[in-house]
Amino acid sequence: MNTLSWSFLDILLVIALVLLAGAALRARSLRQSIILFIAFGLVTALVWARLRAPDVALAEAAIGAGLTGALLLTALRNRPSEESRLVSNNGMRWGGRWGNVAITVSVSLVALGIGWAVLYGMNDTQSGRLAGQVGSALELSGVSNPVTAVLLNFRAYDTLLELAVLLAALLGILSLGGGRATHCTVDPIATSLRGWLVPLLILTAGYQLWVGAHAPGGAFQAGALLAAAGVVQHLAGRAHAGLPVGAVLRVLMVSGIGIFMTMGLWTFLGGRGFLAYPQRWAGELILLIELFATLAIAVTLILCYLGSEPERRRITPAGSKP
Amino acid sequence: MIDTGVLYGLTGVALAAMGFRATLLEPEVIRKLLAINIMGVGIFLLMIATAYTGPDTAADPVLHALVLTGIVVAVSATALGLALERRRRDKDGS
Amino acid sequence: MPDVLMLACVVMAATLVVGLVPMVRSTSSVERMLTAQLLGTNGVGLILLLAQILDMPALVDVALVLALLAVIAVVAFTRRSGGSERA
Repeated sequence: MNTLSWSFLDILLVIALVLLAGAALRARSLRQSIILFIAFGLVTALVWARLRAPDVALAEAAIGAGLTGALLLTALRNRPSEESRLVSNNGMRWGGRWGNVAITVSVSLVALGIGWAVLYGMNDTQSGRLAGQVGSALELSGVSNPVTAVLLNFRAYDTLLELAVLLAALLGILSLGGGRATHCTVDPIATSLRGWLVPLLILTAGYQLWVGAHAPGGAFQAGALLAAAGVVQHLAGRAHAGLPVGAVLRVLMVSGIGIFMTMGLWTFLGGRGFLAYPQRWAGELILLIELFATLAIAVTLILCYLGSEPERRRITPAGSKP
Repeated sequence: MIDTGVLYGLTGVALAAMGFRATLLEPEVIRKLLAINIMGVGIFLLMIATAYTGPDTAADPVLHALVLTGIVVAVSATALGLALERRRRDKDGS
Repeated sequence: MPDVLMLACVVMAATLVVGLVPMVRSTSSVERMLTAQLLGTNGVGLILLLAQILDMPALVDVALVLALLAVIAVVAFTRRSGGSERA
């Protein structure tokens, strides 16, 4: 009975995923594509929850269903309305109809090959080995949530480099210029929403950051929630989206990498190796790094959304953002 | 019944293929970015399906950590793509 | 008891898929956005049920985040389509 129900649930979720993805890629207008994509992100979060990946589900709920949607919808704003309706054809085209067929066929063949590999390779139990290693070393990591242990301790290098990737993307966006930090309109719905949504988002972000040590949550989720608070601020007519200006902002941008590198050098000079925390302090150090990583991720995501730094002359009023 | 990991893994492959095809063929930049995101979700789905070990046992945290990183990188890449496209439009004056 | 929850879960997933029909077929953006919100509410319920069935209290946090963040897309949407935009 129960296995049957699980199968039903799985099949329904899979149908929803494929339908929404297909519709998003096919819809006549860009705006409808984006709405379908938001719904797709939502179903994706459901699938992560069903596959016992609560950490991933949290990040997807914050980013996939929230931030990406706002990012894309706002990107459409600057376009003439008839253009958001009909798909323009000023992009790159591949050699006509036969080019289409050739690409479709080759992509399908590759997919069939990988699908075959999945079908016959999935039952291999080798993937359990890394999980076992994480499990046996978890006590040494200073936290009890295995995902946080992997991200901030066992594979801290990866997280450091990821923050570097985020910073690189942000620098690219800022150097392109022409963002929308300067002009924004006041929207009555958003303004009334801001009053209660922003504090709730900040509270939830703090909770996520703290709970990440022993339950699903952590810097990425907390950062995404803080960024969402910033986006709401901007939608409600705050041009600076609650961000500080000038040097403070730039320090926050690099604070994640900064604290990581400081810790790494400190442990390195102490003769332990790069980012090998002393076991006694591991929990506290991880929380400290996560705090700054959260701020850096939040600031980066908000600036990604704005597209440029807020102007200097607008002094932050009693900001609810760091 | 059906093996959950295999079902979701195959769905992931299908989504990645749909996204990849549209990434290559779609002329409109914003929809190209959507397609890249869908391709990414397909790959994440394959990874999470690999990590899944059953409704009563904990899944593999290493793959979860990788996907978590991937989601954040995907959103920043999308933002960079949108900024590039906005810049291109400004330059074309359209 | 888990069987009842499981059944509720399947029913909610089924309503979710039924809700996709107007989502995919409709030609109006507003209708689609409202359907997306309905799916969001449905999803929150589904995740809460899963939290019970899988015995993972952390999924309650996921439902919370989903409920908070679903609003933002609507605000971005209404702001964009304000004025004489086609419904």
